[in-house]
Amino acid sequence: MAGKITEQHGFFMRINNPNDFRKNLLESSKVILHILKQIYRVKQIRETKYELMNKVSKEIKELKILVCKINELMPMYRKEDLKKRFPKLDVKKKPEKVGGAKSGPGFEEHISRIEKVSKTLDEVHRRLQSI
Amino acid sequence: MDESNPVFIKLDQYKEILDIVEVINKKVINVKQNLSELEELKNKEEEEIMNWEKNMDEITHKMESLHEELYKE
Repeated sequence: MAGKITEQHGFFMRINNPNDFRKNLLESSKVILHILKQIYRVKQIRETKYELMNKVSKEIKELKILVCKINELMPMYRKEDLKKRFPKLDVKKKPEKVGGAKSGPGFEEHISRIEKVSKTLDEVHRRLQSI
Repeated sequence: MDESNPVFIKLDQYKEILDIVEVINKKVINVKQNLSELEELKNKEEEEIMNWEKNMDEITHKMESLHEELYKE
């Protein structure tokens, strides 16, 4: 009779703490679910990050074009070139100030603004590289 | 071009330059904001990955205890 039972049911292993065993299993599956949630969140973060990065790179390209445009607008003539182009022009003579003394410092102020912008651009470029 | 010598810009071009500088300023501010957002996202991602690692360690620990339980004696 006992032999028949062994044939029918095979061998058994004893598990001393079945409750702990089940608890561990359940907790493991709970943690796995957490990880799946985290994977989903990371995916979402990465998607947003890539969208933002594309946006930034597009803006940087636009900035590059704008800076080139300023470069194009800046005159490239030296005194010698000016003499050749405009022989009547006295390059040594300082231009008369139009509308009071406002044009000098204002111009310098704007030049300093351009320098400030180019510095900020450099900073942005550096930060982009670090990301 | 000699850097020490001043150059003279036509008034209309000068105004155009000012306009462009204005646009650049706005764009730079925008890019800076986007960069801060990117940094924030990067930190969030790192945090999530760290939590991920912690959870993986927890699972490993639990699996080890299950393994021990199964291979006792």
